[in-house]
Amino acid sequence: MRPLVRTLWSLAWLAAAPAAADGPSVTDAWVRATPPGARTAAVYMTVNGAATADRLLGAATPAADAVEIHANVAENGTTRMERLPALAVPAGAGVRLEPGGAHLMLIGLAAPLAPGTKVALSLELETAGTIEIEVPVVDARANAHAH
Amino acid sequence: MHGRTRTRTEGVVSADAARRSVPAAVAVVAAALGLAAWLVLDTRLSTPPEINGYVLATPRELPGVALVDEHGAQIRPENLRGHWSLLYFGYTYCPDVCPLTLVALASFKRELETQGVALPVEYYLVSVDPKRDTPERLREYVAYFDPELHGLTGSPQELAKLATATDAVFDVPDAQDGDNYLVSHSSSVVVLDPAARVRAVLAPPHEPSRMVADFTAVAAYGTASH
Repeated sequence: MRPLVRTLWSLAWLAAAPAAADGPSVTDAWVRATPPGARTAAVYMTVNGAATADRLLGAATPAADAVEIHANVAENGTTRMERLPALAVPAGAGVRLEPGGAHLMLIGLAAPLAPGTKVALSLELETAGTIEIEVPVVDARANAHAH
Repeated sequence: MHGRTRTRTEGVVSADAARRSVPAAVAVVAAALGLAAWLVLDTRLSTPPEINGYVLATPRELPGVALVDEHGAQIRPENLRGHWSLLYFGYTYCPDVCPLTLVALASFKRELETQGVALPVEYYLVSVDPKRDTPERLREYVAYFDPELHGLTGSPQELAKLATATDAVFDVPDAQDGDNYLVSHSSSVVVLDPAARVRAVLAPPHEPSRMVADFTAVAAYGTASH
């Protein structure tokens, strides 16, 4: 199963690479290292806008069963995580996914995410196609010097 | 008496009066200053401090809820007496705001220690998701952020009573699709005083140094006025 997945990933990457050249780019991506037993994790990044607006439609990773786009909706002192069908990537400015705001939620982690490792993530954009990124796992606890 | 003196010579009387009234004036001014200071201080202590969140004018008792801690031990409000308590409602499957807030609480804890604030404080993640968050699960989760953080949970009914009393809210979906479902919850931090009464609610964003300033103001107000 694994080699097949990897092959498909490579193919997806080859197919997507030319399409993504003029599209949005991703910087500052990181994923929160998981506490013991956690089955979920949040991925943050900046999706830099291209000349034209685009939309992030979803993502996939071999590290988890599913990836969802989430936003934190503040409402009457409550935080509600809401699944978004897509996230707008405005031309130029782009969009920031950051703690306490929008993020990609990895659901059903295959294994805990250890700091120093990386997670392969495939982002699907409406116009630009697929962007493949390697997301570093970061220990964002107060005593860890990161972010 | 005074009138008669005044008819003698103006200058002598003035000098005499001045000699007598200087200490008197000083006393009056000092008294006024003291009164003003006392009034200002009293106002400051009897008016809840302005914080990022709000302070209850009258502390609120907790109802007799039965909860379990991260070791599976039963916890009732009386077990929360003798120290300040910071309560945050969340759940361990929460990937973003819960880790963010627990990191903030752990930073707050360290900053209190750094600043030498001697108040005893305990920290609790109250899981509103008892179906997935067993005491064991809570224990390993909170310890990851700081070995001294605690976990609390309970039946949905007990959690609802606690939430109502602490101005917290949460919503667990009725139809729980396997192990993957999302829970809504307050993003505030509830401050209980050493009598286990609700004293204040700290609103997000939880910035540790602001939380320290707000908490110490709440504690000073609580100690002075009640």
